[in-house]
Amino acid sequence: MNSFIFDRTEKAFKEKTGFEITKDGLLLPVPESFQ
Amino acid sequence: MDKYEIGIRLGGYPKKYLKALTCEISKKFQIKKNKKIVPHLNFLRPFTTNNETELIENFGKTLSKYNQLITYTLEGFGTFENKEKVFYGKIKSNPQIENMINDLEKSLEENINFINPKIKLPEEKQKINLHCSIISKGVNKYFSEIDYFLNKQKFSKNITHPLLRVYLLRNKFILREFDFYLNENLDE
Repeated sequence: MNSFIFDRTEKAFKEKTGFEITKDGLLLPVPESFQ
Repeated sequence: MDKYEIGIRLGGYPKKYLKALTCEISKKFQIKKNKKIVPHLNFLRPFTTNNETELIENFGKTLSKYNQLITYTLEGFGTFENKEKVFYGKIKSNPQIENMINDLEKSLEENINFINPKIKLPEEKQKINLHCSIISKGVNKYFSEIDYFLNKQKFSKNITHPLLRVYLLRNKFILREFDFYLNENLDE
């Protein structure tokens, strides 16, 4: 498997930060600093 | 000799937004674009090394110190007024990213040789100017039209994305990519 694809990273990102990266590339929930 | 580069592939909405913009400009003004568009930011200018193993090790070791949420934001457009003009997306100045770049340069400098010398600029312009090229070749003819087109684009604060990885390229191909959330120096 090509380790350069982002699947594992996005999962780890969600676990560590609580934010999810949507298919449109946005963050949910929107961080306060973005609002 | 092999040529190395360090930077990031843009992700999420900033990537989609800039890719779409490149395609739109290319179509509207009939300017040829690269077949594969990879919006990216260069952190260090191209360099060579005599010790790739050490380079890879120092690259991973330096980046592993950065484990907090870092984001980058597109804040506007700019141009390089070279002989062949370049339009780019401006990335908002971010001290965390600038520290990371300075740290990388310091930790690698003994082991690398930059291919081109640093451009000497007046002190006030010495700041790191992070930018993502949108379109370059063949834009001179439509310079003012493209400039007008870009300046009427609307921005929202959503053109922001977390910094997930930093790549190390060797001859344009990814040799390693440091992942901040997996805390791994990925290879194929």
